[in-house]
Amino acid sequence: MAGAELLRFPEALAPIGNPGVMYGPCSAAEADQCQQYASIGAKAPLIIRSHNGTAYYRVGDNYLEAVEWNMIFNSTSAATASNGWYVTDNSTCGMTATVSAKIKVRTSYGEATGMFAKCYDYGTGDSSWIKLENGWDHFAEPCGTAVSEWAWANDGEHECTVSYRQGIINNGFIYAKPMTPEELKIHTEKMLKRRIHEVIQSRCSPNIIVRNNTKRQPLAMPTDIREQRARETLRRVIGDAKFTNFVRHGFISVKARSGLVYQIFTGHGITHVFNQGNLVERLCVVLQGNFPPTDSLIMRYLLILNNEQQFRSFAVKHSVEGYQTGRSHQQNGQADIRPLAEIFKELKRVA
Amino acid sequence: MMTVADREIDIALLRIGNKPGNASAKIAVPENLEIISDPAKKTPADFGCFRIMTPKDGDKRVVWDSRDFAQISEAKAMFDELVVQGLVPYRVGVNGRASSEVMAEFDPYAEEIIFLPIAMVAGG
Repeated sequence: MAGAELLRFPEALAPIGNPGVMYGPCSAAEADQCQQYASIGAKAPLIIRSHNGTAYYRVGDNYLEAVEWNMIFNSTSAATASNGWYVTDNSTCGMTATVSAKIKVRTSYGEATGMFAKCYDYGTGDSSWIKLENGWDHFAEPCGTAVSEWAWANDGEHECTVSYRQGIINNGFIYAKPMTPEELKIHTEKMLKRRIHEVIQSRCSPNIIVRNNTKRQPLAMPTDIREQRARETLRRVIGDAKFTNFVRHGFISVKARSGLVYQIFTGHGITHVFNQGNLVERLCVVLQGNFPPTDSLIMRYLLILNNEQQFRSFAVKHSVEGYQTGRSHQQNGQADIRPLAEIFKELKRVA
Repeated sequence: MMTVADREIDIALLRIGNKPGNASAKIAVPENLEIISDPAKKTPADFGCFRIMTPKDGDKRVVWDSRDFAQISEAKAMFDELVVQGLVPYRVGVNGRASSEVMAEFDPYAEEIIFLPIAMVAGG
């Protein structure tokens, strides 16, 4: 990421946007998920999504995690291009937040006196390329220059594609924070490490299997106060991270002392038992009576952790013959077969 | 304002064959112990917590101040009564610490204790 050191933000923690202007409906799944978070009093995660809607990134409750996005400041030629992102604030049920911003530029491409920028207007498509003059500027005529330095300002007039490096969400406001040289160094190393890790992972044999045909949907928002209490208990027991996964996928996994992994569902869902990734058993253990569904899951969790044999003694076994957990595929695609040292060198150079 | 009925826990006692039975018992929550009904409300710091699984309430949460001897005594009495009624107390790890163990006796320093109506567990 050449030019990363040129990245500048305004004053530390200066607000650069107020997601008070909401537009664009969220998907049904997003709305459900959001309501679930709201129902348990949890702060919904912030999702950053690419224009084409394919990439989702879960970021922390407090910090925007720097993800791999392209930055418009990174161009050294006349052809500038930005890969835009917009912010979805699920705390308001998945409505899209708009961020008002103005861009500060300082160009150094020939006799250039400005830059191109492209505004993303949700619902009506991208704007045309627009020239920004050096310094703090509004969008104006198109021209052909490159950018060497930029920063955000807050004028509340424009809705633009946002590229964050790091930020804080607080009371509905989005704050940007400048990276110190140390933070930038750590961030760069982290990204480098992550990329190398991905390359190494892609070369592992067998490849990591990613199921892509699951039909599991996020759990519906519980209207029953008993179920809400049960979920809160589960959240307390398994922690926030696992609970988030539970809400998303509808099950939790727990490794017993025997080494078997139990995939536990709510209600009367059959527990799947995996041995080294292979489904070996399907066990049915239920909590009889009118208990909320998540209580059954908690019961199974406790029994498996505490006394696996007792859990199995209760269980009615179901056949795994012909039962498919979903087709799998290798996700790695085209492998990069260059030596790792060469890949690392290139990544280091780019960073 | 909580009524007397609100301060009672209706626990399922047994099943008949493969079906839940009607038998249940009411256990009164001691006066000094607080019942937290709001699922979103957190257990205060330095408080111990019983989570009692009941069909009626889902998880009934009863908390006690682990610095108050009177409350500890009442919590212990309640613990013993629940065990006598056939509920199994599990001390659980919290915040993702995957652990659970059956408690032989009351521990005032246990963070969370979940009472499981083991009589209602069956193969399906």
